[in-house]
Amino acid sequence: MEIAVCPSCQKEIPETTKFCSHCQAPILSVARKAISVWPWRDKIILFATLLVAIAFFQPWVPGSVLNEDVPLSAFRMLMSIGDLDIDFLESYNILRMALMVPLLIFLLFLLTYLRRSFQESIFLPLFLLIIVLSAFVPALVAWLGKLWGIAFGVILAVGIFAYFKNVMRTGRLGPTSHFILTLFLCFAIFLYQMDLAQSVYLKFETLHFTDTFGYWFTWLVITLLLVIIALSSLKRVEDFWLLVSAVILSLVGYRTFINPLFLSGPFAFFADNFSTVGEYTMTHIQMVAIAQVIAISTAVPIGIYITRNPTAANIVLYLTSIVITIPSIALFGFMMPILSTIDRHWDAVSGIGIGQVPAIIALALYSQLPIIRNTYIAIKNVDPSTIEAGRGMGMTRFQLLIQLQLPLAAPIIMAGVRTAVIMSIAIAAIAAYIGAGGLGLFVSEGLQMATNDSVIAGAISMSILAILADIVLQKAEDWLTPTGLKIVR
Amino acid sequence: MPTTIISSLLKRFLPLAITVAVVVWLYHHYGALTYTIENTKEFMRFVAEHIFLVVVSLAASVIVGVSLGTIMTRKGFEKTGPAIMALVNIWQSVPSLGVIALAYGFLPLLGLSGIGVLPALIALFFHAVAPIVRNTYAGIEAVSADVIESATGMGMTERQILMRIELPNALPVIMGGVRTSSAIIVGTAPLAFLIGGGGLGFLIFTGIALMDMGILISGAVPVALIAMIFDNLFGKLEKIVVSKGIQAEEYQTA
Amino acid sequence: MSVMLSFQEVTKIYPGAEHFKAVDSLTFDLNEGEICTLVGPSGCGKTTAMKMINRLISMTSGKILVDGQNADRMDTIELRRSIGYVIQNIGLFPNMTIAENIAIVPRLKGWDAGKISEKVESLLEMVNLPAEEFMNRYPKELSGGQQQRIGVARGMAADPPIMLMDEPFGAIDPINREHLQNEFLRIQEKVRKTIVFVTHDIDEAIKMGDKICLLRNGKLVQFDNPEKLLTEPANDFVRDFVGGDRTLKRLNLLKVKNAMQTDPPLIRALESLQTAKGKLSELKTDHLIVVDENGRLLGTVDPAALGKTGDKVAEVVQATQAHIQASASLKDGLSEIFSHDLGFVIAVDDAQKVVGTLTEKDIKALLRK
Repeated sequence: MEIAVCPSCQKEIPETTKFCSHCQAPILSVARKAISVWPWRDKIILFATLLVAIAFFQPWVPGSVLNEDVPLSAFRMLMSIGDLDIDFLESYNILRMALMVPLLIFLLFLLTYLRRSFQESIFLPLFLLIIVLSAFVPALVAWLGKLWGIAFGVILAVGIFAYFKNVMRTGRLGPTSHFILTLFLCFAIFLYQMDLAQSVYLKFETLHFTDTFGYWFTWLVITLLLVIIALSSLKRVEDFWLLVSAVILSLVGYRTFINPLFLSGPFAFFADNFSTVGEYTMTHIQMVAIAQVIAISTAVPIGIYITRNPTAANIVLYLTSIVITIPSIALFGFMMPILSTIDRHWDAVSGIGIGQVPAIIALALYSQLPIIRNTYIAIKNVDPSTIEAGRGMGMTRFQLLIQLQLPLAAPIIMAGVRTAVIMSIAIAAIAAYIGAGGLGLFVSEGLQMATNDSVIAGAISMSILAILADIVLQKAEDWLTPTGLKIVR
Repeated sequence: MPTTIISSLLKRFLPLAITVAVVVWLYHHYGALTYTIENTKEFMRFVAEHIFLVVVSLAASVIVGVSLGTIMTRKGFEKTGPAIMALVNIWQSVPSLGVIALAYGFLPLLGLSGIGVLPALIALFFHAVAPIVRNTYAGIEAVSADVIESATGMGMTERQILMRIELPNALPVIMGGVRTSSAIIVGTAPLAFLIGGGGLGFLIFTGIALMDMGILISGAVPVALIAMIFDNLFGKLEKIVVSKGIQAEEYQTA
Repeated sequence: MSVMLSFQEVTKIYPGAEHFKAVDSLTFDLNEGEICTLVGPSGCGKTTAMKMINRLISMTSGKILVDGQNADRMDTIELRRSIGYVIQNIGLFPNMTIAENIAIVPRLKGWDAGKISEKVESLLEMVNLPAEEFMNRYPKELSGGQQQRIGVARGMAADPPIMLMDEPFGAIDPINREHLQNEFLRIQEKVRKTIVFVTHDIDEAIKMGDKICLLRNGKLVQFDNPEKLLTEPANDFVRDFVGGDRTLKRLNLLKVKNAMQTDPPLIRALESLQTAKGKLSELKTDHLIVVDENGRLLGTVDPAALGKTGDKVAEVVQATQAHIQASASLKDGLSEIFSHDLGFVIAVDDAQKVVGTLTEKDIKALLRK
């Protein structure tokens, strides 16, 4: 893979630019430089390292528990900082939990660092912002006066100061500043984790798999999820920081929001209701999937038809755009009485007025506009000269459609489907209120009984579902794009 | 000729006629009219609450969204901008009920109440701000470099370039974002009732809970009407405020 | 003529490329009312040099004097408002009407509305776009050539003494470009601005420039008028850049009147054939040019025609197409010579009065001078 490089300052620039965005030099001809993309092999190695590290450090793997007769008084000393009277084995286990993440990050850092020196990274400033805002401030407020809080704050401050000083001195984010930052960060996170680990340990007394399942399960799920997101958008070694920030984010998020909740909170709720979560998720996906099958099989033909009939196009696009403005709960409201009337008249299976039938109908209705509109526009936008060339070669209208127009339009239609799916996941959640089930049930039941855990568990699970669907469908979109169209310009 | 007349008639009046017919039938058949008339005072309060929720949260998200989007395009944010936009894109796919539930669940952690009008406003605001930020950013970024260069070369200050060139040229895209946001807010506002935010959601959810179609319809119809009115309003507003030189085609990809 | 723009040892080094001087101690003076074309291969620093004048790019060292004032000391915004700026991709503001586009600098300068609208109308007239038709249209409704004219008009709106033009006709098709160039030169005759004109096309540079500033790797190679550049290239680089056909290019630059013979073999139409025959043998030519009482061209006569029966020259005159305006370029003159078999063309002035003849020999003699 090649990127465009400014001839005067050697930094990466967009190919079409006229002025270098770094040094403002006018770009007359673009130099090209091969960049090393991060090969999948390395991603897999990283991923495997992560899994192995988790497996090694987590407490329930047999053989990873330390025998009592190992003399490691340094641990004891470290532990005594925390003003806690706990014995050696406990202190070892706490330390191990606390060390897990910083070591992991350091490992990842070394792995990438050894491959190649760092250049500037886009995510670094963002990453720092997240750390400072979401960890530092609440942590200081919460731990004000506590030894851990002060130590954490001081180390973080020193790290950030050293980092920026280095940046200012050298004028760029060099490998040294990254190294300094990583070291300080790892140590800060270690201290930070110590507190967490102690609270976990003290809560559960003995670290058995079943007791700490909620803790490990949720940590694993969140971290893996973020790592997957990071890896899927990771194109270059420089974006290593994205990965790190994902891990940090999961930790910070865990400490700030989730840890206080998990002992009695939504993640314990997740762990306790493992099978229910799965069941609701399946119902949710099922509803969306059925609605999408209906929507795609109606909307795509309609979209193709209206490209040949402008009057119909006007009417169809107008009607669907009206439908989409109606708030979903209002549409359910209209549908319930109408469907139950039908129900009574035909003496059909009782109760299609509520439940999954109106939900699926509504989802299919809402999905019409994005899919019809994108199909219509995509086919309209196929270059007329392409069509003429096809016609000139003697293709029939059907052949033109199948061999030229649809393949060229496929990615845009897919974008419409993606919009429709994301929207459907959101609306299917609301459909819980008309008895359709799905992940919205956690929220509706939770709000009814004022159980915070259930509400948050519902919100998080449906968000994860939507985000994952977004990522997967985006990949599908890329995959559907003909190779000839991927080279933009 | 006749076809165009018929099609324009169809386009203008058929949907309206169908809407009116459906509404009349629903009101008549399920006694929603009686319910509304009997409870006019309450009904008006719900409408007022509903519109209050929509207007306040939309205003807040327009102000914050446009400023944030603009700031992200300024000098010094070349790296932060795309990163924030990546987060905004992820945030945008979070379901509306999820946002309401998150407000209910997480606001107490910040020492605020999870129930009431404020959490509802906060949830609506956070849900609606994303498209505005994204569109403002994208709109300003899309202003051609040549245009900016000639403006600079003609001696416009940075502020003048922003106010007279960048923002006006990004306006169609920004307005698109505002319209999306208004649709999101109007669609989510009924859910505000679930966390004590009031509004017409009360009638809908009560109707569902009691299986009383009259109450349900008397809430659902005004909600749908408000949504259509807002959508129309912003469509018209777009035509008015956007310069004729850059008005977009009628239908574009999402 | 006073010096309007002066480059003094101007150097630009881009940060991050310290080893390379994008513009290297550039020094030249430009008189008021002249067009100076900055020309050179890609990356020679011509655009950089131009953009340092209105400080879109800051210089590393040296001085640029604009009307005697140091540009670096002036307020950037004021400086830019007093310099017209036209770029290749025009950069019209799509959200504004044509009139608003043109009026932008006057408005920034706080002119009153009446004066602005007067100026806009006169500028539109000047670039041959009827004001009432175009004023309220938007840039997207105009063709590329029309947009570029608006770009030029916008650059002139606030009557700046200096204009900078960055390949203004670069993105336009050759036929329209030629047309716009001629039109622009016609406008320049009237307004007499000091213009810095960047181009990579040597033909355009020769055509448009009163002075040509040829750059290579940031260094000034030659600063001369077009004629000198063609006849006395400073070194091999200039010779190559100007091209092997530089003699032909000179033909573009020189006029028929520079080369023609000013004593044409004339004969009046009312004179007798005898006189004509006598004149023909006296002058030892093949043709005589027949003119009327006012000296206007009627045609030619040759010995064969004089052999016919008749009384007056007017009766045997043969009409001819082999004539050309004395103010036309030598290139056109040469072309006329080749397309008629007379062996020469007749040069006439605006009133069709014969002022001379032009032959291949005359052209050769001039080029050899």
